[in-house]
Amino acid sequence: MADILLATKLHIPPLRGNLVNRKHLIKRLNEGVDKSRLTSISAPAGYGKSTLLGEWVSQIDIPVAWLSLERGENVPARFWKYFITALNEIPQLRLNGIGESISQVLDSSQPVRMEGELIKLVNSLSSLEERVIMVLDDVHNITETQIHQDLVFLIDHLKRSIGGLHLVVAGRMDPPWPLARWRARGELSEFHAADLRFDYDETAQFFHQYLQVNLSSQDIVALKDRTEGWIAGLQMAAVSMQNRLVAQGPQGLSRFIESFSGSNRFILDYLMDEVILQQPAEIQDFLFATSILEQFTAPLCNALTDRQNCQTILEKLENANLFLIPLDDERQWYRYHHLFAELLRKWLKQRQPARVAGLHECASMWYAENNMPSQAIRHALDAGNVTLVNQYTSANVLGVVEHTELLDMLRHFEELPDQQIVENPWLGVPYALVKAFVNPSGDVERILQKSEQGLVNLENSPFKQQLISILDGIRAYLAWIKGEADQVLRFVHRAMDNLPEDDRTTLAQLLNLEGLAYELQLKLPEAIKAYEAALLAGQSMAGLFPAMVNCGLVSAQFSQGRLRHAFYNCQSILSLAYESDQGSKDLPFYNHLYATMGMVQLEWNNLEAAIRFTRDSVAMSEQWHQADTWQYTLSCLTRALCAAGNLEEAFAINQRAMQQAVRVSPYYFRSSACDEIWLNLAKGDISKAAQRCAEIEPLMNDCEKRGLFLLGKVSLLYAQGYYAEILSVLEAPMRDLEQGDANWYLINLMPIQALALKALGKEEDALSTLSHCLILAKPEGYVRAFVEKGPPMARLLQTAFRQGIEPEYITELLPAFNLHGESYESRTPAYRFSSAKLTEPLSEREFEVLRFLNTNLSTPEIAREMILAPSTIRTHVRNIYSKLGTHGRIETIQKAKDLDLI
Amino acid sequence: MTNRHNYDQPTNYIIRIQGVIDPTWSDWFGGFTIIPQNGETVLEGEVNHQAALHGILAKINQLGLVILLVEKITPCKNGK
Repeated sequence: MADILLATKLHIPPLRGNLVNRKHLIKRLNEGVDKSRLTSISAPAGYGKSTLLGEWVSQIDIPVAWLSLERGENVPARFWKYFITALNEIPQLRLNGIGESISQVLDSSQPVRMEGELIKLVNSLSSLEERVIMVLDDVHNITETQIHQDLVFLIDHLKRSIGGLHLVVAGRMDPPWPLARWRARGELSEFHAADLRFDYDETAQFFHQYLQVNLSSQDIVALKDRTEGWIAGLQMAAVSMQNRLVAQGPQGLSRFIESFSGSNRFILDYLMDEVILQQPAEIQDFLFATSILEQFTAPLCNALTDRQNCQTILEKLENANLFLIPLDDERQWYRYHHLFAELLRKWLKQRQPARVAGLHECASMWYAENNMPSQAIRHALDAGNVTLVNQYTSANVLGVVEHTELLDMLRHFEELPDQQIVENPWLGVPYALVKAFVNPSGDVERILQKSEQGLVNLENSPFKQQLISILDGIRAYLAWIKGEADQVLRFVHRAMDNLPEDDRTTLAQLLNLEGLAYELQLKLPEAIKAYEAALLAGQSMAGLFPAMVNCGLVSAQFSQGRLRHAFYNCQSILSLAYESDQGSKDLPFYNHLYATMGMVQLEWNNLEAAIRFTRDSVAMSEQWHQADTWQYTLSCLTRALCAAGNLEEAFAINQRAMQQAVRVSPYYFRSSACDEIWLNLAKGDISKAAQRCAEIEPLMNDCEKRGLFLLGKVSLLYAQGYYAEILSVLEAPMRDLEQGDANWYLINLMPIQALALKALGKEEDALSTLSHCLILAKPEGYVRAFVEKGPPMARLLQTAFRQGIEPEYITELLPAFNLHGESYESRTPAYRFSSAKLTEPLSEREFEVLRFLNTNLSTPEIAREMILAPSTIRTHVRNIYSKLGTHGRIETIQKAKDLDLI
Repeated sequence: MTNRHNYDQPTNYIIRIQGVIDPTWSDWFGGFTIIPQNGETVLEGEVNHQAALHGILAKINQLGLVILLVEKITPCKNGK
């Protein structure tokens, strides 16, 4: 749906009837294209700029790209994305993939340095031989200096000769560009209000065409003088006159002209009253209600006006020339003429002020239901409805980031003076919310404080209570990012105490945060209870909230050691997601699921699969640039690679994880540093591992010390031979872990504990610990936790076997020891052999995709088969093509067969 | 020092435009008072910062009105 709105921006306004042929202006426009590189049309609203351009481009043979700008395009990334999309609409134009590369850069939510990309664009445009015209309509909506600078740069580098791009800009005022310089060099062709006004002949022609009546020259002069040739004014007069003509005959016309030209009321007031008051009540009501919309379609209008017949009304309005502009050829989306819309809004606000908020709310909900979150948020803000803003931003936060909508909103908020936040704390709350999601390390606290300052002055009400709760919720989120579980819980519980009972949305989010905090504390039953409550409270929530909570749930199940459960749930969440249309969005928290699946495979000692899943999760994170998930997936890949003995790459990936971690919080950094302890141990560099361990331990809070760090630390102590110390270090945390049901940690810790006991000569205790561990591990099929401890563990297991401890399970485990270290390499001979013929070998995943390419499955079908996102498949396919040096599927299959790859 | 005015502080302006518009437009023009005078209209009011003033000027442009004068004034506290 969002693409529909984009398409309307690229749509050249259709020609309408009753047009006055403006030959002299068309001629000047043509001359402008011949001799200059820029045409600028600036005049206030209602001078027929878009209409003139629409008429002109329909008559010329030169290919035209069209972009109607709105205030939302005030973000450089989005502006250029649309600019390129518009250019690409011209079939003859080959931008040599430049557009695509820019779009890719722009798709990232990070700030982009445009110069490099812009130079590429300018280069490809300046090498154009054919003449192409690009129209930027409503360019006054662009206020961002950066965009203006980039445009000036572009224009300065356009070809002077005939050929290449000619830019046409239309707006309400001169753009802030060096127009004088271009004018002096004859590079600019300009039109202003004086050029666009209707002259006598045009006025006469217009009324003749419109009313099918010949007016006296006196009347025409009177109308032209009164409106000063301003076209919107003449049109409004014509609408009124037509109504008069129908109702009162020719006499009505004279009376109208007499009173119109005799009145010294502001022409807009006069004409609006005339035009609106002549409409039936039904139409009047429709006009007012829909005036709050930037663009509209019949179902949206139906929702707003509580009618079923809006399509008919829209057609009626279009036929009556009531300033309705169709935005597509199918007559689905419309907008009002800008000036008309603004006047209607003024009327609505004056006469029915109480209605405005409700209308925005209604529009907001319609957009949300129709999956256009950015419009939904905009109207929710206009309605002043924090609940809705909160619901959309937080439920869709990850989805919205991709479309740079959140960044756009953030910019909108950043423009607010502090004082305004204090005066309108309800504005500060969503501002802080968005900022916390987009840029958690930014100065969110200042905004929170300003909002709180403003809240003090509000009267006590459920609304105020709600705002206070949301502020605490934001603080809880920020604490979670820092790994401060106790703080999270403190804020969450305070927020819950203040929360009005009926606010399920905020409650659901608070419960989710509570779950995350308990997970940090490794109190897993509590975490799961909180997640389940969050799902229940958020039942009615639109968007991705349930998926987000489910990801937390799965992760908690993994920590509980329930491998099969976690793996199965990941699969079912993903397949559900791909069945619904949300799947196509490749949501960032789904990479958590792939990472979790990778970690399960690692426990089952399926190293290839573990690497495959975690690699995919990293690839997905890379598309998203979401620092915290990126760090997490990199960390999982590090562990999988380390297990497979690929230390070189594991170290490199760990470095990348650290780079991401720095951007999130010190907590994330420490978590990556933990991985480094393992890595150094695997490498045999005990002193480096010890150094890292000593560095980070003092910085950690108690929950962190019980988590992955503890595993690293006892592994280090074991390598150092400090067996007794292992026992004392483990004692207290293991009690907590048992209480918190954190079986994954226990299953991974107990083998080391058992080995330490054995080393201290306490064989009986060692076997009893091992036995306990085996009982826990057996139903879930753990292998890696034992195998990675190497020969001493194999010997201990053999002893246990002889004593009749879990003999079946041990029988399954022991062969894995024999394969240890070679299983990964030896099981894939085909892969190693055939890849050798390529300069760069195919990865195991790419092989799999290649095999699917040799079937008749489509990309989405392959994606479903492999439980991957279609875009991931496309990335693999691209890589395969580039590694094989092929283009297209058929060629690739042939080459692959030639190389014995399939 | 005394001559320097901080334009990020609330500042009063009058804007004189050609033609007569009625007082219902006040909201549209940032709450400025609308005073018709001999076929012209004076808009008078306070802006918090320069951006707000530019916003009002843009709205005047939007309606195709002709600006005759823009001036910073010192409001009379004691009435006229």
